Amino acid sequence: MRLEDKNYNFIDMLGQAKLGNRTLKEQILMAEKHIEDPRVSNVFGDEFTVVNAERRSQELFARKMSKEFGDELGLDFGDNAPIGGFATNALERLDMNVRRQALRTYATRDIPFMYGGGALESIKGFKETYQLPKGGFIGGDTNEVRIVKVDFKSQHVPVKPLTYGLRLGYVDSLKNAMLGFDAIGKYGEAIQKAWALDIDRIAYVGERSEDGTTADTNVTYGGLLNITGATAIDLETSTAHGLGTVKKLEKLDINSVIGVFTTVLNNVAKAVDFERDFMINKFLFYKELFVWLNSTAQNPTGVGTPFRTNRMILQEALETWCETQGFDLIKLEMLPYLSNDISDTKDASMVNSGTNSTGMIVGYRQDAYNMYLPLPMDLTGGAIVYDINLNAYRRNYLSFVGYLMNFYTDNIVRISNGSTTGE
Amino acid sequence: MSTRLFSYGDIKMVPKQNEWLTGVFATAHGVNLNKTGWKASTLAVEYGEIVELTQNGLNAVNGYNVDRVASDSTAFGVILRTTDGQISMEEQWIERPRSKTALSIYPLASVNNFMVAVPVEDGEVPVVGNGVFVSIVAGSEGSVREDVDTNKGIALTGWTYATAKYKPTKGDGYAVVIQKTLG
Repeated sequence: MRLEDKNYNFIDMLGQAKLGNRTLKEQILMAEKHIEDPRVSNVFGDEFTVVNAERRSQELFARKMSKEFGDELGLDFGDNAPIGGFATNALERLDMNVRRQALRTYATRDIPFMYGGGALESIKGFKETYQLPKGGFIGGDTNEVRIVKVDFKSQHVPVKPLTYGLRLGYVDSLKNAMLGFDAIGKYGEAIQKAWALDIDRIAYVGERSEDGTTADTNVTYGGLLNITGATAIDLETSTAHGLGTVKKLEKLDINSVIGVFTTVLNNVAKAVDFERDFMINKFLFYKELFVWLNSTAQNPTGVGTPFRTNRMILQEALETWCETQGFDLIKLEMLPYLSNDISDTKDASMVNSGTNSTGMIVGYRQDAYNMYLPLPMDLTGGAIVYDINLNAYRRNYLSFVGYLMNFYTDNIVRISNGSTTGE
Repeated sequence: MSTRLFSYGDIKMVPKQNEWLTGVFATAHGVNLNKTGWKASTLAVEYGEIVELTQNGLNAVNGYNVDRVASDSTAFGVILRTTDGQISMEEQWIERPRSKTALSIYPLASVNNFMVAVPVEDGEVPVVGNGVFVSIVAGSEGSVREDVDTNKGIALTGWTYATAKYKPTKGDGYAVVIQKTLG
């Protein structure tokens, strides 16, 4: 008799208590004792020992794996799974939570995605250009009617298929089945991670690194952080932001930094004709700026206040600027790719730390009307097939991804942090 | 494939008045006297280009024959911007009619007084009110220039510049509006 075949419930206990002419309490205490003591032959069956309890844990583990990741081999992982998926003994308890690695991606946070279309070669959209006459005053008996004209320019990005595959040898698959380990499901997770990293690369730096370099020399289709036509500002050399001898944001006083942001925003607002629908609504910044953001605000002479941080005052200034003009509020978020030391944990092609390698801030409008990443086909797994030549199970995944479909560049600003600290 | 005469760029974020793309009428009052043009399919002409016109007889299926402007050209017309299909997938602007498409021509000898936008030769600075010359400089034939020089341009009799040159897109290409001389 196996535990899972027997419901350990009140009715059982009551019935057994009557049969043994015992009180219900006596019966329950006895039953619990049998469970705790492996040497005692118990009322749940001859097989129920601590060893079997461990086996039961293994089965539950296997079923949980199957349920979560899909029993894609068509094998019953839960049935007759032996002890030993991991080294265990009577004194060891198996922790069924397999710990994952740390891996975070950002594209879905920062860039709108547009799904659908299928196996495409390209995505195309159009922009219009108005050609407007000036004045239309007319005499009582003339036919001088001013005519308008509208033309269109198409916007085109290629779509490329991304493929990934997994292979699990037949013998290994049998061994994994013995262990109750869903290797194919795990490989599928790994594929999702690889895909998510590729999506980040495509969304933020487009074609960069496809030629094997980290330069943008051969990049026609860029991402948010390197797209052609965006406004580039270098605080080290720019004279438009009123900076003195200190050019590095982390070393500036709060008023100077507000000045930098306000100048940038004023210029963008003018470039987009003060239209709310095109105005910047997000700044991405490098992680080192946190040091400044979280410091107490100081005025130009270095006098600070213990009550308010730079971030609070800057955010307040930005919100006031937006509200006064009826713009959407601006969100500030950290993006690791904007720091210089990120190549320790990310691909070298993802470093976008600005002209001076001291960090970059990117302002843009997060809005699918302005930009989106086309995803005609989401990451899709094919059938799991047994390949007699490989003597293995194989499964391929396919996704169709377009480059960043960015319609406007006047509202994208990349601010390279300065390097001169004035010290 | 980009055009010879006018360099297109991205669309400007904000439109301004009186910035017309090449081959577009800035004013169009009255009866339209445009003609149909025929050209050899190997000849690539772009919107706004000033071309040489040759008279055709009644037996012609199309209207005027169109060719590249040369030093011996005497009759001129402007290729008008019409609705045409894109030539390649990657093309962003539609910059010219397809090779076999019948053209729409604005003969500059027309009695119309429509103002029309045309491409400016690289480096030229048209002055409002000055006479218009069509360039015959190699590679720039069909754009307009300010002065005749020797063997560089042919005067378009009766035409003057109505505007200074301007950029209708974010690209480097300049256009200018030309008009019939009053009277």
